[in-house]
This record gives sequence, structure tokens and C-alpha cells, in this order.
Amino acid sequence: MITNTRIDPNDPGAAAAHPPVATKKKWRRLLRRFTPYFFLAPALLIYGGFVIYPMLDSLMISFTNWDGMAEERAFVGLANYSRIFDDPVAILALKNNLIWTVVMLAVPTALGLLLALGLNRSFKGKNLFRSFFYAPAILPLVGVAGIWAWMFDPNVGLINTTLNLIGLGSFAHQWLGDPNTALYAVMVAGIWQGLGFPMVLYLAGLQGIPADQYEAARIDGAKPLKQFWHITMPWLRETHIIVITLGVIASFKVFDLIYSMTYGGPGQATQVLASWMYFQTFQFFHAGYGSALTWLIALILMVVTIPYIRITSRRSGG
Amino acid sequence: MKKTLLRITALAATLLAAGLAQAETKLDVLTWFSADQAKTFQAAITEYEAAHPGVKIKLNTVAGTGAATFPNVLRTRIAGGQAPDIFTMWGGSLAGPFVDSKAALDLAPYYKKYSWDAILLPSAVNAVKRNGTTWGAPIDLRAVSFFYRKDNFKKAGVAVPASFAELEAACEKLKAQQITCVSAAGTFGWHVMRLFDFFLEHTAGPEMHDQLLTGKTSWDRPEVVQAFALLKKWTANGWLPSGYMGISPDQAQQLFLQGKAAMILEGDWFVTNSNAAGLTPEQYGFFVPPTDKTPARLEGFAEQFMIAKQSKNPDAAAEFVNWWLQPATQNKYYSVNGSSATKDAAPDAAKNPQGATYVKMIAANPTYMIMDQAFPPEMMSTTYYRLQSAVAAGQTTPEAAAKEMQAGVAGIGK
Repeated sequence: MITNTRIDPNDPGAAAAHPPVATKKKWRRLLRRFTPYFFLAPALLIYGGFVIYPMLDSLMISFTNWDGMAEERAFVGLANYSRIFDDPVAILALKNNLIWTVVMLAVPTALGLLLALGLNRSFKGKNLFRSFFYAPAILPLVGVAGIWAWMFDPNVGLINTTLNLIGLGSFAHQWLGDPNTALYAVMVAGIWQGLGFPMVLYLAGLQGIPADQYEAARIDGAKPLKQFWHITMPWLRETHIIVITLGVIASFKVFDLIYSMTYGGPGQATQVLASWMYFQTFQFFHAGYGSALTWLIALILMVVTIPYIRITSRRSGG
Repeated sequence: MKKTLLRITALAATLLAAGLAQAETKLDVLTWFSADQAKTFQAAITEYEAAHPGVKIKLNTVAGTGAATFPNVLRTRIAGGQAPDIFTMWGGSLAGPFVDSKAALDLAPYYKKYSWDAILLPSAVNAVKRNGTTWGAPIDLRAVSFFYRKDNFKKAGVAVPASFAELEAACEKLKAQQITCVSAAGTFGWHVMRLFDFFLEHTAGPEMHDQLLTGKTSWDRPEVVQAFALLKKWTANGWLPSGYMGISPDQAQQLFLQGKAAMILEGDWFVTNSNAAGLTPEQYGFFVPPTDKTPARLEGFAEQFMIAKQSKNPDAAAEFVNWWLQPATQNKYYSVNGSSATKDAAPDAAKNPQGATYVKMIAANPTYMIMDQAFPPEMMSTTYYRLQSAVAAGQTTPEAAAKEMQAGVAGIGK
């Protein structure tokens, strides 16, 4: 706000009614400096109340033996954290998370890139195919789990029935009932559901590559494979980082598919950290230990997320 | 002037309403009842409210979630200081966390005041006791038996088995007809556990089985090894559904209801499921599992009403529970639970002949505690369910499983 009021320096009354210009400027500077924070305040308050506070509370709980219900809770120090390393199911869950991460990074990322390359070309029905491949990504995970649990049913499921029909009955298997195949069977559902997201990211990345790069390469006699390795892949570097980072985050957060398709079984064969955290907190009433598992997941994800945030911030000029 | 008068009238009405509301006793009831059950239970509540002016009961249900989710909803409400006055709960170890965290009220004074011991089945009262204290009032006594398809039995030329050997012979004949003998499901663990419980009752007998469930004798013994060996044998012989460890109880029930399996271990509630699926009494029946032991026992468990310690109206809550437990109420609203813990309560035989027959079967046979109510959920999940799966998959031997079971039972509470 700009004012044209002039103040007579010899009139003390006027000076009192109108503060000196320097003070006004100081206030204005302060106001300008803090204005963004005023606008941020409501969101910060909500974020603080609904995200930061519960997180800190969960951290505090992880140092107690609270059952999640009783009024009393005793401080147990790092006992819940050291228990993780003595808990064979937690170790198995961590191993399963790592397997899940490797498979879910390799398969949907590679397939997503291939689909994106195919769907980036001009052909009739391109948008229809894009929607078709992206459709499973918008389905609720519990619904996806229900669909695939029935498909994997060893007695009436589509997979074994089809194998029997086409004379490959010897390959029919108890997919979710065998501890050796259950995790991979759930992964199939995860891949089917998770394919659309990297595909969309890669499509966006591909559309950002200048066409003249390919044109110049063609003039220089570069074949399509060479163009892919020397133009497409380098230009997709940031997209790869985003896809891989989000893939790792999603892999360590996986819960719904495991819970709905196998409930962590057979035995504990498909437990992952998130499902084991759920069992400990909500089924076994060990909120303290469950919170420690939550913070283990959070720590792992922070290692991945912090570089990701730095890269994306750099890209957006933040 | 007119506006002022209106304002004064509105204020007076609000104050009057607030005063009336204060005079009202409000009760909050949380149950796991399905939509149909809740509808009938709401009718009972309306009747109670009409007979008890000043009492208002709000019914909340968390339907169709089973033991997996209902306790979470309840726990969240208790932790948030919004505990319902009355809530449904299973017996045994499943109720344990709510008792141990002092969330439930000791109902002993109300047992005395209302003489509940005189009207309730002693076995049901015993089933809901924890450390000798009655923390809840039993509302039903469930029992599991073999449901069987008469059409499949006829096709395979088998009769209702009177002994364990006859049951195994029937399985072989059913398999020859490409019919699964007993439908079972490994997801969640508890459905297959019913079968193992039956095996253990057969191999160990009633007395030792009870001792095993109370930790009074070691699980590392030949009878337990034999029970695990039977699970392995039945799996290997193809008498259970293919890949049964990876299917859900719903899928296992479908195999029976669609006629693909001849038998399934289910409780009285399955009469309703079978009738709803269009099966007639000519198509299905049930029989006491042939354990070859005396007495022939059914696997059973009780469900109860508990009163929250946070309740501001525990006396009014107990008054309602007392009304609900009365034989007249139970007979009138029998369909809410399809079972009752009250003596002399039974379904209308004319309307529900199968249900009435089932009640007679429960009355004629004592029950033993289902394993997941005998042991804490963590021990069941990390030890028993893991071992049951490992034995079925051939990843461990029955001998090793018995040893590990003993280690698991010995580790409870440590």
C-alpha cells in the first residue's frame, strides 16, 4: 500500500498522528516478509495437527509398552526397536519387502516404459489404449485383491481352469496356498494394478523430448535402438528417478493386497513390514512395538525420499 | 415485540428440551450384527424403550467384519474415551485385551443382583470367564459340527459316519466321485484350525485335550504328533480342497454350497447360510464329529455382552442386558443371534426346523473350547497357524510341529 501523505517535520502533532516514513517502511517490509507465512498458517496448522502431531505421538508410543487402549503406558526405551531384530517374522517381512521392491521396480517399470514407447506413437485408438492400460490403477486395491484372489482360486479360479482347458493342467497350482508361490502370486496382482502409473509418467517424459533430436539422429544415420539408448534414455533420466523413487515408496507401503489376498499367510510367508505392523498394533495389541515397526518403515523411506525431494525441488527451481 | 416473544418461546423450548434430555438415560450399544440381525435387534430395543421411558438406546453395528476388524473399532473408541456402554465380544483370549486393559466392568454384582446364574447355561458362563471373573454376560453358545450334503453322500454311497474310520472311508469314496470330502480354508487360519481341533479331540480325548488347551500338559506328546500327522495325511490324500491353505472361508463355504464339497465344519449360523443359498433340509444335514471318544463333544465358543468401564450408566446398561437375557426375550428375538446362552430358549421349530434340531444337538453334547479362544491371538498367529500351514505344505514334520507348539504355549505371556 502506497501513501502520498506528507509530514511536516516541525509539527510534533502531525508526527505523532503520522509515524515516520522509516517506521512505516519497516512495518511494510515486515508485513511483506511474513505475508507468505500468514497464507501458509491455516495449512500448516492442519498439517501440524493431523500429520506432525500424530507422527510425534507415534514416535513417543514406540518407546512405551502401550497396548493401544489402557490408560497406563510404561517407558521401555529402545526395547521395541531391539525386539525387531529378534523377531523372525519382522526379519522375514523386511526380506519380503525387499523382494517386492526389486520385482516391482523391474517389472512394472520396464513394462510401463515399453507401453509408453508404444503408446507415444500416432495411431488410431491411441487414447483408448492409454485408458485401457491405466484403468487398473484407478481401481481400489481391495477390489483388485478380490478379483485376483478369485482368479487364483485353485478349484474354480480362472487361471487353473484355463490351464486345465488348454491341456496345461500340470501347471495348475495352489498359487496362494503354497508358501513358495504366494508372495509372487500377490505380486502379479500388484504388477497388473501398478503398471499404469509408470506408463503415464514415462508418457509425460517422452512428450518432453524435442523432436529435432530424433530428426538430427536420423539424418546422422542412427538406428531406432541407438536413438533409444542415446536420446530417449538420457532425456528420461529424471523420470526414471521419479518412477524408481515412487516405486520404492509404494513397495515399502504395500499392505492392502497382502492383507486382502493372503492375510500374511500361508503361515507368515507373505508378511511385509506394514502388515506385520498392523497385526502387532491392531490384532495383538502391541501398539508400542507396532509403532517401532512404523518408524522402521519411515526411516527406510526417508533414505529414499530425501534425495527424491531434493531432485524434484531442483527441477522445479525450489 | 412479536419477534422478542418468538425468541423467548424458542429459548424456553430449547431449555425445556435440554432439561428433558438431561433426564434421559442414553445407552450406546456396539455390535457386530449384520443388517438383518440389527433390524431385529432394533425392534427389541424399541420394545425395551417403550417399556422403559427415559431410556434411549443407540445401536451401532460393525457388520461383516469378524474378529479381524471389530476389535479395532472398539479399541479405537475406548482409546478415544468414547467407549460404548455395551458391546459384543467373543469369549476367552479374544476378550483378554479388553479385560487386561481394564476396559470392561466386572459384572459379578449384576450376576448376583439379577440371579443370572439361574437363567444362563453354566457352560456358556464358564466360556466367558477370564481368570475366574465374569467380565461379560453370555448371549449365545456356538458349537461347530459337520454339515454334509445328502446328495453327495448318496452319489458316493456313504452314510453319516459313526466313527473316525468311517469318516475316512467316506472321504475315500467321495474322492473317487471327484467330490472334495471336507471343505476347509487356510486364509486367516481359524477355519482349518477347526479341523485340527477335531483331530486333537480324536487323538487326545476330552480330558487331555482340555489339559492341552489350559497349558496343564505338554504339547510335545504323541497325541499332538498324531493330530498333525492326520492334517498331513488328509492334505496328501486330497480329502481337503486343492490349495485349501490359500482360500478364504467364504470360498470354502461356496465349495460346499455349490455341491463341490461334501462336508464342512461350521456352526449353527451355517443353517441360515445354507437356507439362504437355497438348500433344503432334504439336501443338507449335520452330525456330531465322530471322535470315537466319550463324551462326544462339539467344538464350542461363547459370545457375550460386556459393559464398558467408561460407561456413565452401568446400572442402566446392566438392566438392559438383564432384559435381553430373559427367556421370554430370547425366545421372541431368537433370530438375532440364532443361538442363545439362556436356558429354555430355542428357535421356533415350525419356522426353523433345522435350527431347532441344531439347538437340540448342542444341548445333547458338551463342548470344548475352540483353540483361538484358548490362546492369545499372537501365539496363534506366530506359532499354531504357521505350523498348521508348514505341516500341510510339508515344510515341517508333525514331530517338529508338536515340539514348536509346546515352545509357543510355554512362551505365552513371556
